[in-house]
Amino acid sequence: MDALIEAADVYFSWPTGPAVNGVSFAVNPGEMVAVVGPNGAGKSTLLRLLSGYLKPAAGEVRLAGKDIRRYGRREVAQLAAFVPQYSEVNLPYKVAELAMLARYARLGPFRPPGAVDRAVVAEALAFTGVAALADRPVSQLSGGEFQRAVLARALAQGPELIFLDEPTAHLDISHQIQIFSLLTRLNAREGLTVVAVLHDLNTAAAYFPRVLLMAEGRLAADGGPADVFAEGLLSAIYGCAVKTYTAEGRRFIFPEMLS
Amino acid sequence: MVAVCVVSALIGPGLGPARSARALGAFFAGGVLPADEYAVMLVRLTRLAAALCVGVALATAGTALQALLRNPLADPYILGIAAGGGFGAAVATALGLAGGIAAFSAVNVCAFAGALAAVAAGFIVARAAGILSVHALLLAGVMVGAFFTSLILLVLAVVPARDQHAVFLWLMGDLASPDITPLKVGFTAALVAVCGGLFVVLARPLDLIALGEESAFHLGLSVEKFKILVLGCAALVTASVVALAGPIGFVGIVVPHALRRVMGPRHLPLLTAAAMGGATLVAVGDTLVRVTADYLSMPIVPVGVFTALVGAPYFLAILRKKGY
Amino acid sequence: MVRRMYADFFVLAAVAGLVVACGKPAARRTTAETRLFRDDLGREVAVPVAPRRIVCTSPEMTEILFAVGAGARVVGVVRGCDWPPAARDLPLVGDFSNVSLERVAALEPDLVIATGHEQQRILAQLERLRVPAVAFLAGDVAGVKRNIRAVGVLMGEEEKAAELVRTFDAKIFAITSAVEKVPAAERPRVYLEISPEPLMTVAEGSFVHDAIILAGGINVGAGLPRPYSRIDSEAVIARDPEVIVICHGAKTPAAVAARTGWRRITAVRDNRIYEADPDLVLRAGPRLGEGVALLHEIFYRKPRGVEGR
Repeated sequence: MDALIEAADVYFSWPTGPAVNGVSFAVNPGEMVAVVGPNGAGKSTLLRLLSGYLKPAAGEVRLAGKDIRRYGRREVAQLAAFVPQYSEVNLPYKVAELAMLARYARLGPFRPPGAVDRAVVAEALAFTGVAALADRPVSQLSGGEFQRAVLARALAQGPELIFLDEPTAHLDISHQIQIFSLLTRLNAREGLTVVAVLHDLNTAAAYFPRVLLMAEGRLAADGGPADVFAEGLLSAIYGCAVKTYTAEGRRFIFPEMLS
Repeated sequence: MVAVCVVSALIGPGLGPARSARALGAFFAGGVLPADEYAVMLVRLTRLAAALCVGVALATAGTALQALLRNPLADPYILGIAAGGGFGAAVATALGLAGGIAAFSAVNVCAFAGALAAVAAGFIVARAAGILSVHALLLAGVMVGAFFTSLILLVLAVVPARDQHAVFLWLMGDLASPDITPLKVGFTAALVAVCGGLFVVLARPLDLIALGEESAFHLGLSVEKFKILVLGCAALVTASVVALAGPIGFVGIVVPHALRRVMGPRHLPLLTAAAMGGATLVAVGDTLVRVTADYLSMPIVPVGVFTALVGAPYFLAILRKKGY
Repeated sequence: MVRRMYADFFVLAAVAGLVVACGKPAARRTTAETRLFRDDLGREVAVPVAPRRIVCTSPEMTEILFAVGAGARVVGVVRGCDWPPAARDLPLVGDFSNVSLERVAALEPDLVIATGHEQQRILAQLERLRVPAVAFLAGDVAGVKRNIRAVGVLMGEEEKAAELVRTFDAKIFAITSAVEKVPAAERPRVYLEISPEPLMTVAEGSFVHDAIILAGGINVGAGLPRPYSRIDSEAVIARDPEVIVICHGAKTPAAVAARTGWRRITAVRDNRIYEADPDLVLRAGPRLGEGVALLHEIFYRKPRGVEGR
């Protein structure tokens, strides 16, 4: 089976310094992958290299086997969607309108939306639980509602792959659970491939069967939470004392209390 | 809007409203018309057509730029177009350049060139490593505008009084100039129609870019190409109406902003409304110029004064009603 | 560091003081006899009885000064004072609308002659410098004669001025007597353009309007709100002048005829678009008599290619 998205020896630098130094891995269709690591490890940069927004200085990013640069923009958008950490929408689009905008990838600038598009949008709104807010302007939504609306928009693209950049960074615990349950359901039901950058190790351990641990632009570990979240490794990477604990088949990570 | 046009066509120093009405009918229905009435109608309708062109061009360009720059205070002149055009016009006037291209006078051509030069300068500055930074463009535009404005002042300081007056008047925007010929207006109208049509075609992408460049990119928009296209179109259409009638202010910023509150943020309905709204505003302004000149014995006022006087209160009223 | 600032400050203050001191014009004026003169703006100015150094900021007043024989006493003019030719060699104090106070002061005049149009600001500034300045204004042809006589009085050349006025009168009289013979209905409607961009013409209150009437024309610009007014292209078409006089040299008759809708104007159809030297027609000076004669000739010139009307 061809990998859906893979990075092959990718390098990238910001003006302030190197961010991604020779990262290689492949994600197969239907996987749920979390990317974790300390601040400044290059996670968000890596995500944007994978989505095609940034171009690698060296190496290649391949989407469905083909170099991502060889795709047209709309082609990529039909395959992959992106949910950013902060979405700024200062115009009062209604939730349903926002989701409909996502159909651009398939419709282009000319074709008016048809029954299929409306159906997809309706389903996306229902699935993320914002159908009742369809006519509400996004400026009037709470944080959790808004992030779900953005997720609905991403789903309305009809993608096979979805990138998320710390999607719940500023949401409370109930919303966190909501979002990740949704993602898990989508992954199980439709085989949606998920690649998410997370800062919270426990969330990663709870929902994601595969974790990529990054440090200083390099891949430090790639495997299941049980393997990657090892005390020694985490303490070394994060530079502080970290303890792990396994219960009910799940891994828990917390800082060591210094007495 | 049609009502405004009709009323506008009826007012003017050449013919009273009653006779104008008859003449208007005959003009379009192909009836027989005394020579002088025909001539007056021709001048008046040319002026009206020019006003509509200016309104449509500025309002649609303003709408597109407000989306592109993600700044509700953006207007077509923010890229330095008015200043660049003014400089071109000032230089042409000062040097007394004759000739021109096709139907357009030297002043028109130089103004057009100056306006585009200003945008090009801003564009070159704002573009680094193949990426056009919208933020940098805004700043560059303001700087370029300031630069050209000081050049204009330099020219004004140096030329004799009569040329000063001509340049001043140009800078205030003037639809009453006898140099606005039907041919020029036709040309400009064609350009405005093409660019306006392009904006409408790009209505959905404009919606996308209003969400932010990164989001638009991920939703499938070729962001860089799009930015250049919109910028080029807006610059072209604004430069052409500035070359025709000078920089008529206020339309490009107020019309899209005010209408967005009423029509909502989606660009397809917004652009259509903006086009009509802009055209109406300028037509109303120009009509007021004629009304005050004839019935109130005021001297002929530059039309930009009235677009501001009418537009600002209307905008404030909307702001008040709809809140922010 | 603070000491350095103080030092800089003192140097700056010293330089500033020096500049101010040098800037003051030599206020030691020889106490000459003065008398009160009432100018056209209603100002009562104490002018020297025998002024010897005159700065003139108006081309038309310069012409008058030279014509009454006071040309030798003019020490400074503005750009555009080009008649008589001798005036061209005089030092410049700036432009008509932008007179340099410094340059005027540097010439140490005992009298400044200006016009009432657009020069109020310089008058106020000169008042502060205690340089006598008088302003002249002519709203009609009679006003021009009055100004000539007034300048004669100022300069002590009353006789020359009187003679100038006599010649002037004679010229005008020759024209007006010819015009009297023309019935009012046959006098041509005239559009005299003083600026193409914006379109401007003259109306009541301007001596040019008066000149048009004396020359036997009917000014289509009559009734406009100001003596020098903008006019709509439409309005010109509607008033249908029979003669168009271009008084600015910026557009050729062909360019004027080509304006939108102007084809229908009688003057354009009859090919009666003429250029007139603005220096003769638009200056309220001694040559206005020639200007009126020129206008008269233009108004009644047989149109080219058209049988006598």
